[in-house]
Order: sequence, then C-alpha cells, then structure tokens
Amino acid sequence: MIKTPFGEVQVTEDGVMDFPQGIPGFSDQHKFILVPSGEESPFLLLQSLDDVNISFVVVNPRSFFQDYEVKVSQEDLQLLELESLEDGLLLVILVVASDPKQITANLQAPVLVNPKKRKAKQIIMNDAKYTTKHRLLA
Amino acid sequence: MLVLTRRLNERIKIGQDIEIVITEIKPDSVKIGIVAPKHVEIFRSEVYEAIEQANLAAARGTESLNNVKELLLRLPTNIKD
Repeated sequence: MIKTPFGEVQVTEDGVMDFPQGIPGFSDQHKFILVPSGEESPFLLLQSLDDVNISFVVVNPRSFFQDYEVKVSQEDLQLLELESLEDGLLLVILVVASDPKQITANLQAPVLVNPKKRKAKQIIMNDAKYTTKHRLLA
Repeated sequence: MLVLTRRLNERIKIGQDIEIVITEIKPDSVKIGIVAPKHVEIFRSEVYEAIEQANLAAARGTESLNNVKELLLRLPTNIKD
C-alpha cells in the first residue's frame, strides 16, 4: 500500500512499468504505476515507486487535442518492443493548477507505454510544432 | 571543457561512433552535422532543458495541490475515441 495524491493504492507487481532511461529531470526514477482517477475519467496518475513523493498527472491526449500528431522513431518503438505507435498507450503530462484554465499539457514530450511489456518512455519531439505548455481547456 | 578550432567542413570524432561536421559558418551561427548511431539521442540543449523544467513543474503541481483528484474529476472532458 502506498499513499499517492489519488489516495492509497495497492501496488501489484504486474502493474509496474519500467522507464529504462527514467524521464528528463528525474533520470533516477524507473519504476512507475498508473493510477486511474475514476472509471469515466481520462486522467491518470503516473506514480513513481522509486520515490513515492514523485507523481505526474497524465491524460490521453485524444480526450482534449483531437488533431494531435506524434512522431516516434523506430529506435524508440524497438526500445519499447512496440510494432507500431497504435499498439502503445499514449499519454501527456499535465501541470495541474487549482484554476482549471491554468492547467497545461506537455505536447512536445508525450509518454509512450507498451502496456503488455510494461515498458515506457517520454518521447521528446524535436520539431517545433508543439510546446511543453498547451492549455488543456481552450 | 575541451575547445577545438575547426574550419568549414572539418570534423571532430567523439569515440568510435560519433562524428561532428561544421557544415556552414555565418557571423552569428554555425550549422553542425552530427553522425551518430541511431540509439544516441540528439537534442538542442534548450529543448531537453525545457522538458526537464516541464516535468519538474508537473511533479511540483501534483505535490502541492491537496485535492488534485477531485479537481480533475470536476473538469469537463469530451472524450472522442
């Protein structure tokens, strides 16, 4: 049982995902779980198990950014053991704020997960199409 | 830091697999070509730093709000799958 911003959560081994390279700014965090916020809600908590004080609110970008396009290299797909982007679970990290209008999504660096192999990586897109701060609610 | 002087089209080799080429020189910028194995990730430093800062801000935001789940569940969503 661990305490998270989404409440107490039971960790099961088959729910643990590996970020082999950590994520930028947190390169020593490798083991994470995804905690749902509710059955009907697209928001999840990406909770570190290496340091339980570290967690990120993530969301399926399709819920808010319909035209969002992600480019992933063959090397990243191979690292995650994914055959294609469509086989993965795509999430974007939010900066949450008490004022919903101030909530932003990082569309420049989405998180790609292989749910079957439980491997994940934050993908940094080099093209300038997206930034780290897109307002979630237009 | 190692500092080397290079002219146009001259190269620098880093280890076995990485090579840097000066492909264009202008008064206030240089164009650099990088040959590296595919698994070596190459970013403009400010891009990588912006991602680091965004992740730090995201973690801080989650930690500092004490009702984050309730806040999220109140947000309007328009899920289109």
